[in-house]
Formats: sequence, C-alpha cells, structure tokens
Amino acid sequence: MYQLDWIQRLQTRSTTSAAVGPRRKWGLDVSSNVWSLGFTSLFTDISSEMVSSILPIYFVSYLQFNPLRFGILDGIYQGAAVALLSLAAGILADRWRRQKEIAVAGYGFSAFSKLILLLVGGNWMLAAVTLGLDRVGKGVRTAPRDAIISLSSKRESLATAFAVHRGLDAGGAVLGPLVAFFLLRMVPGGFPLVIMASFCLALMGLGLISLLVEKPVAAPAGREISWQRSLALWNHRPFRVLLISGGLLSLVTVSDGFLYLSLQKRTGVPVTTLPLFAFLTAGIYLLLSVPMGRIADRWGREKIFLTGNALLIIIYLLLAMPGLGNRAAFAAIGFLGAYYASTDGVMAAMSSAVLKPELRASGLAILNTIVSIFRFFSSFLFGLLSVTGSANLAIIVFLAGMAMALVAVRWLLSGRERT
Amino acid sequence: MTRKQSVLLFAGLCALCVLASVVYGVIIARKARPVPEVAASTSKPPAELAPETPQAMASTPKPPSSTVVHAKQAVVPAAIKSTPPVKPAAPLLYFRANQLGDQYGKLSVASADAPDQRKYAPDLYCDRVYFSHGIGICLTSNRGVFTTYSAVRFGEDLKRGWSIPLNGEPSRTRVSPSGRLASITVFVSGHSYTALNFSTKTMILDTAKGDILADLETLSVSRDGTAWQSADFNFWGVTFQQNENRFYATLWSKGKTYLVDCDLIHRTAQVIHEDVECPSLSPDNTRIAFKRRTGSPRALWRIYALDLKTMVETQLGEPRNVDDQVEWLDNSHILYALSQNEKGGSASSDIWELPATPDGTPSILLKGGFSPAVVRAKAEAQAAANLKIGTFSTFRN
Repeated sequence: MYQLDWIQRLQTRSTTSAAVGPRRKWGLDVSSNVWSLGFTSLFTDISSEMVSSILPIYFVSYLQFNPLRFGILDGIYQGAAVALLSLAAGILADRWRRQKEIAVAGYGFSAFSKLILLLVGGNWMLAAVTLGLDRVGKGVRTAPRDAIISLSSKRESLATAFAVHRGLDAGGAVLGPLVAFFLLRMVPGGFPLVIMASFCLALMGLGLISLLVEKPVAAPAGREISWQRSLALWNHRPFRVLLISGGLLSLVTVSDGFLYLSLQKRTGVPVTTLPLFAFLTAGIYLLLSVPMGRIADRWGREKIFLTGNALLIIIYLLLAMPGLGNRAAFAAIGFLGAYYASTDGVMAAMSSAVLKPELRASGLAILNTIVSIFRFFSSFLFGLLSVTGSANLAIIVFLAGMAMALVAVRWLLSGRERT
Repeated sequence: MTRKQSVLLFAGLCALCVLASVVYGVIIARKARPVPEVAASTSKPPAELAPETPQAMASTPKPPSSTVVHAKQAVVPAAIKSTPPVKPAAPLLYFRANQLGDQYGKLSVASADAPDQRKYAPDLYCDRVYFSHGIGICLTSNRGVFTTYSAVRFGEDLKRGWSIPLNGEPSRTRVSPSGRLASITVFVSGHSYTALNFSTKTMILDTAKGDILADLETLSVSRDGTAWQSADFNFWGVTFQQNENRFYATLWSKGKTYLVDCDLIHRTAQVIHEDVECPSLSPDNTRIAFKRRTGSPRALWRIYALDLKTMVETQLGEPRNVDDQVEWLDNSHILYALSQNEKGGSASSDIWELPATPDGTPSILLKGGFSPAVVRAKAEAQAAANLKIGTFSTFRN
C-alpha cells in the first residue's frame, strides 16, 4: 500500500550509500558502524542518566544546597538556542562533509560537561552550566550521527539500523540509574565516584566513535552545499511531506513529562515515582525497538509509523477515561514505550530514504528542529489548557487533535507516492 | 591506523577508564573511613554521658545490631556506675552524624558538654532530625535505584516507630514542645521531573500515628487585617510556640518572604513581619532567630534575631552564609550547621554555637554534625516523668 518502489529504485541508483564493514551481525542486517554508534550512545546515555538520576539528591542531601536556588536552572534546559545550534550543526556537517567530526564534537561536549561537574561539583552555578552543556552536545550530535547511520546502511534495512541504535540508546537510560545505584551501594556517599564513572563512560563513548566509526563514503563531489541549498530541502516534495507530518504530529503529542504527571495524579503514587515511569518507558522501548524496526522494513515504514502514533490515542484514552483502574493507567507506560519504538527510528529511516546522501545531515537537522519547535508549542498549549481548564480536558483536546492529525498525515503520506 | 589498531586502542581506553574509576572509588572509600577522634569516642566508656541520659539508658533495648551493641557496651556499665548528677544537666543534642565515615548520616545523640561522646542509632539515617519531649522525627531518604523519602518517628532509644512516605526531598522538621505535633517541609519538583524547579510543601502531623492534620497551603492567610490569596504561596520552616496550637512559619509569594503567625485550630495564618526565612522561636518565646537573604553572593543568608515585643531586628555576629533553620541552645545562644568547606561542597559539616547578640563570636560546639535539636534539662525531666507512666515509652511499627 505504501510502497515507495519508484522513489527507492531511483534513489538507489543515484546514491552511493555503501554499507561499511561486515554485515549480518547477530542475525541483523546492520553494519558495524551502526553497532559502534549504538554503543557510543549506550555509553553516553548511561553516563548522562546516571548523573541525572542522582542530581537532586546529590545537591540537596549530600551538598545540602537549598533547591530553591535552582529556580534559574529552568531556562537552561529547553531553549530555542539549542534547537538553532543543532540545525547549524547538521547543515555544517553536510557543508564541510564532516558528519563524523561534528558528531564527535557533540559527544565531546557531553564528556567535557561531566569533567566540569567532577571538578567543580561544589559550585552549583557551574554545575548548572554543565547541564546546559550536556544538552547542547546532544543537540549538536544528533543529526550528523543519524546521517552516518543512514549512510552506513542499506536502503532496505534503514529502519532496522535506526532501531538498533535507538534500542541501545534506550538501554543507556535503563542502565544509567542502575549503575549509579550499584556504585552508591558499594561506596556509600560515593557521589563523586558516580560522576567520575560517568565521565569515564562518556570518554569511552567518545573513544568508540572517534576510533571505530568509519567516515561514511563521501558523496560525489557535486555542487557545494550552501545554507540555501540545505534550507531549500523544503521544496523537495517527498521530504516536505515528512516535515509537515512530523510537525503536525508533534503539535498534538503530549510531552512525556505531562503524561507522567497525569499518570501520577491519576494513580496517586508519590511524585518521587516519576523517574520510575521514564525508566520503564525506556525499558519497553529497548525491548521493542529492534522488532519494530524489522517489521517496519518488511511491511512498510509508513504503516508502522502511523500505527505507532495511533498508540498515543490509546494512551490518552487510558489516562483521560474515567473509571479505568490504576492498572489500565500503568499500561499507558507500556504503550508509550511501544510508541517510541515504532516512530522515532522509523521517522529517521523514512526521512533518510528520501534525502540525498550529501544533504542527509541537513535534512535530519531540519526535521529535528521542526519537531522540537512544535513540541515546545505542544507543551505550552497543554500547560495552558491544564491551567485554564483541567488536565483531563487538555488530554481530550490532544486526543481529538491526534485523531485528526493522523487522518491528515495518512493522506499526506499516501499522496506522496501518487505524485 | 588499521582497524585492529583502533580496536586495541579503544580497548586500552576502556581499561584505563575502568581502572581510573576503580582507583578513584578506592580512594573515596578510604577517605570515608571513620575519622579517628570520632571513632575513639564511641569505644571509650563515656562516664560523663551517663548522668545526662538516664532515661535514654533506661529505655535502650537490646537489639542484635552490631553498632548499637557497640554503643550500649560503652554506655550501660557507665550508667550503673554513675552517681546522680549534682550540677544541672547540660542539654542533650539530637543530630545527624555528618562526618564522612562509618556513622555518616546516622541519627546520633550527645550531651552538649561532651559532644564527642555519642550514641548512634543502629539503623536510622536522617537528612533532618528534630526531637522534643520524648518524640523524635527523622526525615530520611531511602536510596534505591530511585530514591524515595520518608518521615520516621523515633524515641529516646533511637529506635524506629511509624514511618510515612514523603513527596519530595526532606527540607525541615520540628516537633512541638509537648511532642504531640510535628511539622515537615519537603521540596517538591514542579511540573516536570526533568526541570529542577522546586516548590515546598509543609504539613503539620499528629505524632501519635503520623496522621496529617493540615497542609499549610490550606490555611486562610491574612495580611494587614484583610484576606490574602495567591496561587504561588509556598510555606516552609515551622517553629512551634509553647501554646502549640500556634506556630510561626515562612510564607513565600512573588519573590518575597513573610513571617506568618499560624493557628492550627482556626486554620489561619497572619502575616506579622516581612523578609524572614526559617524562623526559630527561643525557648522563652520572646525572640525569633531567622535567616535573611542578603545581596552578597558570599554570604547569601545571614542570621538575624527579632524581638517579638518590640519587633526590633538585630543582625547576629556570624559573618558567614548560614542556610539553615537555626536552633536555640538556651535563651541566649543559637546553633546551626556549617559545611566544613567554607565555600560549600563538603559532605561533612559542624554544628556551631553563637551568642544571640550583634557582637557574638561563633564557635564549634560539635564536630561532624548537622540538623541539631536541643533537649533542655527541664523538658528532659518532664520527658522522663512521662516515660514512667509509659506515655511515650513504646512505639508501634
């Protein structure tokens, strides 16, 4: 139904997306570059998650800081600055043909931020800055890294390749809090040790990408990649369809934070359970990522992508419908993990399939930026609706929005092949 | 560089990283070994401690835990040998042992005139401690993969009573003079667990079973005689009056702090002063010591005392940053904890004593402590009397 045969054939001919390294590892048609990048993300994510899982208690109980001082940290977390920086990083990666170097720089930022935290742990102001730096690193590396993943994979197994990477990435979110916990078990009060170990893991991730990830085969030296040419991707119809779809769906997607908060309010579990929700979501994401990626490659990525987004409707129903018990509410977490497994990597695969190799990092960066801008609007809207109406009202509005967006996106995606 | 060389190099890097972490871990574990002076004081039979804690000794049961056996061995023979006190007993301090080492974080008790002779709770680790009239509250964090927090009641025997879950990181706790009521303040993360914006939640509890009697946010607040309401109200830092239905607390709204006089029965809070944080009422109920935000980044909070009759404020003689709800040792001295590293960032802290005068000089009362609660001789005697009739001697779990 959603076959993209002619586009695929056309682009297979025009691209040189040669896979790098030996294939068919562990029964998966995925190149060694993808595995290396996956483990880079695993290490880096363990590193970040172990620090963030201990940060509140490290500041409050160990250093006895007054958390009311942290108010100003808010703005550092999210921001248009990070979105713009990652857009620039993606475009520059294409322009200089240095996807790997820019990705390495992004991972370097994160490792460096752990080093600062280790050295200035006592200074909360600088500790706050390191959180921002970690975030910047994540923004900078995402698009170039995804470009390398796609350039190191065969077209027909793109979703599997992204699934392997995303699965390992989610593994980091699962392992991080566990590693921190066991380190603190072994050395009571060993918060500096957790930060040290976090730095070491980030360094290992950095070493892995710099030493073992091979630069993707350079695209044929064509026209120079200019800012204009990167941004003109908007005029490339198959890609524009994906940008519109991504933006539209992001606008009606409730952010995880709000979902967890609704779930917490609904079930009445203590607020301190919120990190556990994120942990479980990552666990399910980890388990389902590869199966979903393989199914997407086999049955059609659009189908799985749309199904994944449809799962959000179930989640909203579970959270907003009165009379459903706590067990049903907790099932929402399972569906959320499945949603990530069937959309995040699949969207990257769908985009990579329609982007020329020399513009892949730019395209993915544009997509990421649009998605994060619309997510910001979505959070703003959800917050506004919860304050003026109620959280339930907000969820129902988003449910209706998601249903409409899905119909529209389905129409857009099917229209794409007709042209 | 060939691929094989790269793999080897990466393996080397990993080995180096793991090695570095292990070495660092060992160093930290070494550093965390007990500090000699504190360790010595627990093993030496503290004859001086005995007269001050007759009731503590009397009610100390015999748990099999090694640490408590340690403390008991040290304490019980002394109690038998000791003669009744002649001079008025020095106050007792309940506090969190806060010197990195074996006892780090444990609930501890010592006499103010022999602060190095300490008794440690076998299994109670507290972020915040308070104790009054035989009833103690310990706010504790239960470290797991995900940390949870709870408030635990304890008695003079330092053993656990009831425990209730808390909704956030422990901040402050107080127990009313009769031990019937307790207040607990926790930091609650705001809208999202990733954002580090905190607000505070303060509750008044019945110490008998841990029932919550009131959330301060439900009190009707009045200011200059008229009702005042705002969605951004935050309360923290309760201090109970002798008439324990009444208590003072900090109210925060739109970047300003206020001192409120609260009434539990009538559920009211009346603004009586501005720019007061973490009030602490003197034993004679005439003065309130509090911290105030200054513009200076070096000493963000300074301590003041407010005379409740004249409403005259005095800045006290501690030039350093004190971010604590102070505790009165007696009617003319206050106690507070300061980090052992003056710039902050040390996990260990000391308890300082300061005369409540503009020119008082601070001095260390107790090394390696945090969150002190003072039990003065009179209250102590009363507690002992209560113990005889069995009011507070047993706790159900």
